[in-house]
Amino acid sequence: MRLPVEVLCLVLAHLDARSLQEAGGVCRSWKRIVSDDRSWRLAFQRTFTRLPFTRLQPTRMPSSASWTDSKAHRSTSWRQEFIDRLSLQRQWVSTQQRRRLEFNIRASTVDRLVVCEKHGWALGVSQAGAAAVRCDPRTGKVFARDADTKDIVFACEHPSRVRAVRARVDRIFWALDDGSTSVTHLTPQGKLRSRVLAHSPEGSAAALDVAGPFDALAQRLPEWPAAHGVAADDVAATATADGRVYVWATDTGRLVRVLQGSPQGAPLGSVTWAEGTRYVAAATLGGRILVWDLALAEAAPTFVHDMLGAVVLLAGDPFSDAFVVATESNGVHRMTAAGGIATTFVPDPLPRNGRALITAAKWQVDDARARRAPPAATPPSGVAPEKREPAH
Amino acid sequence: MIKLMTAEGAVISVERDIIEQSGTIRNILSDVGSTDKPIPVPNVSGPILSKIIEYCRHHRNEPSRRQAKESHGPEESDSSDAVIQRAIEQMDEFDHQFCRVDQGTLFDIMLAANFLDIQPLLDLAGYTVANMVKGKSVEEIRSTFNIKNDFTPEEEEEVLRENAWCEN
Repeated sequence: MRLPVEVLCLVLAHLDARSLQEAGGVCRSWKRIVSDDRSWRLAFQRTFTRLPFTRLQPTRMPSSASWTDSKAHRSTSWRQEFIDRLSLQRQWVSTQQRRRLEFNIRASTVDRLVVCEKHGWALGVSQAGAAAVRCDPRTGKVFARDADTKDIVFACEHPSRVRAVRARVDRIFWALDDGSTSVTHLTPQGKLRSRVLAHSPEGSAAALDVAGPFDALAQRLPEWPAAHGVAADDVAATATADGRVYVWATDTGRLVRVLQGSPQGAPLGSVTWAEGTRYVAAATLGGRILVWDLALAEAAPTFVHDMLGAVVLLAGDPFSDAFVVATESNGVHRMTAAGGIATTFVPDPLPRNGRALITAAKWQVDDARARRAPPAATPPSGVAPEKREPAH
Repeated sequence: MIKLMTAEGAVISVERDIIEQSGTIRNILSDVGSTDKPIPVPNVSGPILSKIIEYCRHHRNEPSRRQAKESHGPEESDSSDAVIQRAIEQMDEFDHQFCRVDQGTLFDIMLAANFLDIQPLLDLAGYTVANMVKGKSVEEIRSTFNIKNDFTPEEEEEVLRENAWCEN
């Protein structure tokens, strides 16, 4: 090979990591070039399509043997970063092997998945990775890098501070540790925009939920959005460790409401919004569930009930004052806004043979009924909860 | 017209705007102004210089190539990857045909592009050579480029050990 080193470097800069590794075994002069970390930086970009937002830290690694034993000498080299990310990615792929879902969210776990049926893509959101990627919903593969899909990676600019994340097809909400909420969305011009909404006065965000377009609420309660200065638009709610729920207008970033939790100020661990309705529910870490009726001006919860576990589902019936609450260990209940359990769908408490927990539930409103004029306060007919209980 | 003197001592004439795609020649011309004397390019043989001029002639009216690269602000200076990526995206059918030459010629072109400082051609040739490396085993790379294995057995074992993470 008669190419001098500086020219050979230019050649090897075009290689992906795998070929780069192979090239390092060819001869001494090639190995010297490959040992240069700049080659690995380029290879990293080439394989993962961009540089990471944060370098992997030992504390953020899964505690498998391969991490703790052999990586005593943690290096900050790009080569090491590459190997670590690749291993994480492989772990992810191998745990998903039964489904053959080759999902790579920049080497982190996926917390949320949003599918855009209109445009045929899925959005995988990772809280730990503080990033979201767009992928093919049939194969799970991240879209190839080309002119149209350069926006495949959506990131929060404060990766270490993300406490909760929610996504919809057009925007991603990040709850940050200082109690503020950051929104990432695409502008009509296709550019990525991030914005931090106003800070909550105190406390750190623990959980987050986002209501859909408020059309249903605006129709049903025309006085409510006007009174609070929110046009039929999106609202996000964050539950915080100081026991309050903050409601944000996501278009202006303004704090709309502060909802007081229990008098003791017990930290809230989850918050849920019944889309299209006026209810917000949060659960304390101790298992107390709090429900607010946003049609009322009061900051105190309209309904408090001691249950066990986090809120899995809160669904409102748009045509009556009833809503449905499911918690992971205490069944599914239909309640009235006045407070009080009207119907229990699943035995309360759950039969504890093994450790069955409700992990998902869905409330389906009858379409035929929804098209009719809304009757007042009659029990919903044709409404059935679907629940899934894992074996262990 | 600008005159260039090849390694063999032959003189080749070329239009100034064509050969100014070469950063090296551009610098010389801006230093000396216009000159009738041939500019020596002692590292470049006649046939290779003809190839290079052929390339520059084809890309004659594409100032965007050079400017796109230069107009990059300092905020993007670390993404040399993006620059290379753009260069690859800009390659056309002529470029791919241009690189269908034997390995020796390709290396000569790359060396000449490096000496003459013609970045798009350097990227094109580098990309082509890299494609000859991709997907090949160590042995195949050695035989493709006629490279002698100069590792000691101990070093070779160490390389194999380091590469273990690749295998899966």
